[in-house]
Amino acid sequence: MIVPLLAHGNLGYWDEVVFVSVALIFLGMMVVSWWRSRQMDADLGQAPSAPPVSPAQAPLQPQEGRFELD
Amino acid sequence: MNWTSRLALLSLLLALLSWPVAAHGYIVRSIPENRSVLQRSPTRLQYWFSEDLEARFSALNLRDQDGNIIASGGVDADNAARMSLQLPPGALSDGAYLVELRAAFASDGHAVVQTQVFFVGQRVEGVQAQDASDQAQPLEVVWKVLLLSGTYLLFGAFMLYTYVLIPAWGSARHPQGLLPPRVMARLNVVVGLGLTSALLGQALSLLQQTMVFFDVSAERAIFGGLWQIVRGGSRFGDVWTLRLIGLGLVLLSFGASLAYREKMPRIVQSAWTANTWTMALVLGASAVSSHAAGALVMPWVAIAMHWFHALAVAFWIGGLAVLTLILPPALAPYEGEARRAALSAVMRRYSVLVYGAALATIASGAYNAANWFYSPQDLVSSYGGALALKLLMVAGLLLVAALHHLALHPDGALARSLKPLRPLAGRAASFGATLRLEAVLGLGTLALASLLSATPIPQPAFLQDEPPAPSASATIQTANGLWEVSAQLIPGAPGVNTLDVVVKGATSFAGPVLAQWDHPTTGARSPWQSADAVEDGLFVASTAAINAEGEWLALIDLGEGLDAPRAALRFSVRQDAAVLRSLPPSLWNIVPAVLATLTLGLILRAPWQALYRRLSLGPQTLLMALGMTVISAGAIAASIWWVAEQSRQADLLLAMPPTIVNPSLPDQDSLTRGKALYEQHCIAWQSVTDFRALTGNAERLRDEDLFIATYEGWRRVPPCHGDLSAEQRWDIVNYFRRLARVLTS
Repeated sequence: MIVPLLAHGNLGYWDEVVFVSVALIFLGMMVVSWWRSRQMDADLGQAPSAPPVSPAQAPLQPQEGRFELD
Repeated sequence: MNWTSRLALLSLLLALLSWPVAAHGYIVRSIPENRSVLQRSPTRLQYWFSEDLEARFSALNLRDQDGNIIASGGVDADNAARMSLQLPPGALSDGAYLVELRAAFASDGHAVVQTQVFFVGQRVEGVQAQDASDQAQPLEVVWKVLLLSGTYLLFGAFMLYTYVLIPAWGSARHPQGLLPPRVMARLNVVVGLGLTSALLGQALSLLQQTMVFFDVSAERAIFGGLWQIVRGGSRFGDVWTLRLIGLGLVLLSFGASLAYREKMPRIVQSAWTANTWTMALVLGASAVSSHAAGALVMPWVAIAMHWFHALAVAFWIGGLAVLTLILPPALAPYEGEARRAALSAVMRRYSVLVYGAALATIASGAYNAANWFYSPQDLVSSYGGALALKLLMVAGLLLVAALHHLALHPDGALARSLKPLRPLAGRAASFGATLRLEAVLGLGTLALASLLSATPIPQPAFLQDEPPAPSASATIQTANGLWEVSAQLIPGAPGVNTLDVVVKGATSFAGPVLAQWDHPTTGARSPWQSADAVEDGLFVASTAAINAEGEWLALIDLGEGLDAPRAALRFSVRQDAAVLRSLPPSLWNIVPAVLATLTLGLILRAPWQALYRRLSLGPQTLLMALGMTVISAGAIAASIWWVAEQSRQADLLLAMPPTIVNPSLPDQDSLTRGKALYEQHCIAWQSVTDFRALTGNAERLRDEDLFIATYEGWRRVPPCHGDLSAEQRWDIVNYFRRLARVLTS
């Protein structure tokens, strides 16, 4: 017997599945964005350890419309 | 204090002081009706609500006209949206009675106390019902403003950092967050303020909810430990805990970024970008306990739309507030063209996202509004008024956004259609004053959004239109004369029903009256039950056996004996007589939903395109991707079908519909015929030992089993002898059921 936590719609126990799935997806996205953000400074093209990139992945800098703050 | 600050303070105070708020759910049906005059003491009080209730925090008290509590009821175990109270027959003498209903709604945690009145005998003047209070709960408005402000500010800050500030201003020269320390310091202050506000609002929300649920002071709510019961024992508490976990994660990662920024500078950008998703989830948790959870049309879609709306508004207003706060320190070192270039870099990115947020706000807002407005009259409700004020604020925001667009793109395509605004656009060129004005309007919108969520939704008129309860009558000829039996099934819908039986004859009838409900289509049959004698000739029985729409039979026996008069009444049970809990979507729901989906697609276009460019789309990859997608979709579809089929099979096994339906109404005439036929053709049944087992199992056997038994016998019970027609055999079945009940009782 599943103990309902949040059932309030017409889906019964599926309410719980939907809610928990959405929460897991967002927590997963949180972990992914944490990991990907470590590449952020490399993407800005200034890091000395920036790996070589292909022309299609050209760094944002220098780019029109950007203004690096001092 | 400058004029913009004064305006912000004034609008907030006005909003806080003047707006009435009330509970969101409402009574959709009452038995008895409010202010009705009953000829006799009722045996059951029933109140259906528009949403599920928290059983532990809801109560029903019946008071006499002196205010004394006579009896108490509560939320029904089989229907969380209904409160009821059963009374012994004749329990209430003539007079006025007050029903005090304390309803705590599960979806958003609102609680309301209201009274209804009914009279037994005749109306008593001077006794008034009391509607649900529409007075503001100041603490609720305060915590909503704090929580909304805090969460919107946090989401706006993290979104702005990740998708505007870093792409526009980011530089690897600043390892701690990629922005200059002066900007990061201001951003840290903003996040600190947001977290403080959100956590304070969160704490106050639990306190206020506990005070409302238990109707106690703040001191008792805190020191009596009652807040723990609300936190662990209500849906409000579930959502509250989830939101607290989300805010805790944000606090933890933000704290870690402050503590370890010297040793691990990259942690700053990681924490800030990851927190965007956590805050999106926190806003989603708030949507779960909003008006949307009680929507009649597709509650999950309503919750998703509410969430989408909250995300769009949070980015727009929260991001705007953050932008206004960080621009002064960020641009402080620059003058002239450099200052303009720095401002332009950030405004171009921000404005592109704001266009998406504005579109999303409008589309999802239209969907949300379509959930609550069913007729033009609903627009003039207090909810409609609150929404109109909010829309005025949003219109102001859109106007300022249009001025900013003109300033940024004076020669753009959109600029031509905004020509009438050109004279004003010059004032927006420096962004400073207009950004502050936009922030003030955003603050006002936020305050009105808090109040809107605390304003009662309009009660649709169609929910109050109760169809008439079905009634039927029969005249029974017996040796003792004629009996007239009339009955009414209330409300005549699947669920709990009450049957009022009036018996009239040459002499008064004192009872007992037995009743059974049969559903010939499915073979469902309730146990026999005794109706309560309410007054001379009036009997009342209630049942939860009616579980499907269609034709049901009420078998009414005037006595317990073998020859007791029988009335068999047909009732048409209709689903539309049931209390409405859901509605199919209309065009007004579908059009905004499609628009909102298209807007979401538009917003996600850039990330999708970026993802598309990064994909390796060779024939082999495409084939594999397509194959896996088709296989996954097929597997999901097959699983859903299999689960549904198993469920259908299980239902069929549990309630197999009869292959032969009894066409003979088991009324008095059928019983009389059946008795004569039974005694002539089937009396041999009683001579075998299995007869006892047959009578004992009669209630479990279907009519068709007994019908076949008249042909083939049952175990060692022989078949009925002689040449009998099918109609005669059905009469025997009807009589045998009566015989079995009498013999086994």
